[in-house]
Amino acid sequence: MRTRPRAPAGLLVPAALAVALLVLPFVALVVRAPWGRLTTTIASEPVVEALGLSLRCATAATAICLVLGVPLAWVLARSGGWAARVVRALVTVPLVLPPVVGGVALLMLLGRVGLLGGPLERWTGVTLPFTTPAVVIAETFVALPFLVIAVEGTLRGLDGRTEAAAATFGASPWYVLRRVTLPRALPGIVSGAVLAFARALGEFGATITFAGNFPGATRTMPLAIYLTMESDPEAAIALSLVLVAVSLVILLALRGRWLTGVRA
Amino acid sequence: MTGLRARLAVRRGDFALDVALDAGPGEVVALVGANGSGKTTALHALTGLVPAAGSRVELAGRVLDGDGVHVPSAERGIGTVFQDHLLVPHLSALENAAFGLRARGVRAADARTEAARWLDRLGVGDRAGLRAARLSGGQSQRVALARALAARPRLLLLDEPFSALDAGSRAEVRALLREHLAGAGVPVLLVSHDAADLDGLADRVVRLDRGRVVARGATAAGSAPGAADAGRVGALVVAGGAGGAGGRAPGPDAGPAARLGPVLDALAPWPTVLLAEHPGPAAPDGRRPHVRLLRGAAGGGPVAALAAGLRALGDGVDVAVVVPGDRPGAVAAVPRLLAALAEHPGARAAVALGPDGLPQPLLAAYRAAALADAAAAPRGDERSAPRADPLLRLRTVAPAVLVAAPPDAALPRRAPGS
Repeated sequence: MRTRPRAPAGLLVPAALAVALLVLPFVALVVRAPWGRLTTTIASEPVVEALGLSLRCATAATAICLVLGVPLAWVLARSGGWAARVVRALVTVPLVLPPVVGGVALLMLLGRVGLLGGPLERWTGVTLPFTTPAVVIAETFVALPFLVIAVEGTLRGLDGRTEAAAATFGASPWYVLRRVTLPRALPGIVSGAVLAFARALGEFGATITFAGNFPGATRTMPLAIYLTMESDPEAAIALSLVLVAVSLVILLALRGRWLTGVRA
Repeated sequence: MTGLRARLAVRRGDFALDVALDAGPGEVVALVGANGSGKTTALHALTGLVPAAGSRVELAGRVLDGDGVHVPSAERGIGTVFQDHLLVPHLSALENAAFGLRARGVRAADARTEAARWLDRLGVGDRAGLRAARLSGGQSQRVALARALAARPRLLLLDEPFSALDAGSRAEVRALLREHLAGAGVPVLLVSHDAADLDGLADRVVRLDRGRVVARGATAAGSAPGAADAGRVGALVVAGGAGGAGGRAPGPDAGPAARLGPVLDALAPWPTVLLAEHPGPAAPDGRRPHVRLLRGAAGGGPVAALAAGLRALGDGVDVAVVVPGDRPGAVAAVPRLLAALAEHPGARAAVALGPDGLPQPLLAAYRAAALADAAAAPRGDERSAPRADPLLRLRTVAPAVLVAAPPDAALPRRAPGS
């Protein structure tokens, strides 16, 4: 048996406070929930619309994160040198950036007078801001770093000799990637995708700045909750409970199986 | 020439591998030597897993390395059983065994049939469906063998392929492998520490030490117990020369420096002590960091000089090779001397025979203890006899193996490394 020193009492107090800080808000949410009118509130058309939009956009953003992020993670994991370090630092910027700033930056790039948005509208007539695709872009922008970092960590943790050995048996780099590397990195990819999905689902700042707040087109659950809070606080509580429930379902479904990281 | 012809040059930090390896079709060549002697690195250089600039590898008539060519690992057609197996952990034993065939585009069903046949032959057919990560060490090693053999390689590399098996299964798998190799006609390089592997499988043995070949021989020679002791070799170069069998003492004349240089170079990287009064331009300098100069040691006679040289080599040396400094060609005999010493663990010295058929005590390999004992022995005869033989105490080192030395004519390009 391992013997470990007992935690000093001085540590237990702040630790308990931390738990309280994390848990009590949810308790309050549940206590104050308008249980009587919960079902009617949740089943109302604007809520169903916002929830459906949120799930669709978060799913699309996660898919894009996977398609773009896994290759980026692979490249970062396999390269050294200053260029890789610079790229890694740039990739993590959205993690620490206030999402509102991200939304403004996206507007500057893809808005109607943006660097790319202007030419895009002139040549194709397509405008991105304040559309559903803008929601997906904003969510992808904030969620992608989570996926890249999770997958890169997993790939770095893998023993590259297994792949090198596999290659000596006549396997092309693509074959090794498909049959050896990606399956081995799957736990990291799944946990990265879950993190990205959760982040996309809760995205507020970049979305409202870049995509606006149009019912049915860009009003996702977090925006709906914020707006409802001003007119009908009880309904906002009900909507919040819905998001809490969705998050819990995701976490529980993947608990242990994938989120524990890589196994040999 | 079919089969394998390779000259491998690998540099990794302090370690330098420089060996020539050949294996004919169907021939099993064993690589032996202490840990860190470069055996596994040599195999990895052949598979293209470590950069080996300056290497030249030819397999079945095709150049894999050299002539500005570097064939990637995946296209070399080499099958390896890696020391730690390196199976793909999430794939089943069957898919691992079928990996080489499927990677090269064989239909999945055909590849699995062939793989299942090999798993059965190796006694792990009942584990086919198990993920490799769940196999025991012995099972995993058998699957690794199945993967290498099922891929029908043009060259088979076996890095301690039975180390995870118990003694009983070892003999069984070894017999199976021998039977298969007899028909396959593929060159094989085998790394093993097990004498039974060498006797039971290998046709030839190549002994490596610190990245160089120190001995080549038939199987019995390589596998003799105690052979690994030959790994720690030091060299004593008598600058005055051997003076033939007559035993002229290493005198103040340094011998023609032009001959001394190649001798010293050929002995690199062994720690080498040059015994001389006036060493001349071939003296140790920055270009020969392995050489130390010991002046004035000849005053007490050649045997005392050698003993002083042995002390200068230090405790890390088990075998001292004595070489005359004026006969560059004589260095070619050194690998034979070491092999003979390895072959006869009971012998205290291996001494070269001159063209006259007489032993040459100054072209010989002595176990360190034997040389020290000889120097400590009473030297009565050397003084009292009218025609003193200053090498008498070396001549009486027993038991000694006598080795026919090649003529001195040709200076080996890189003895003792090749």
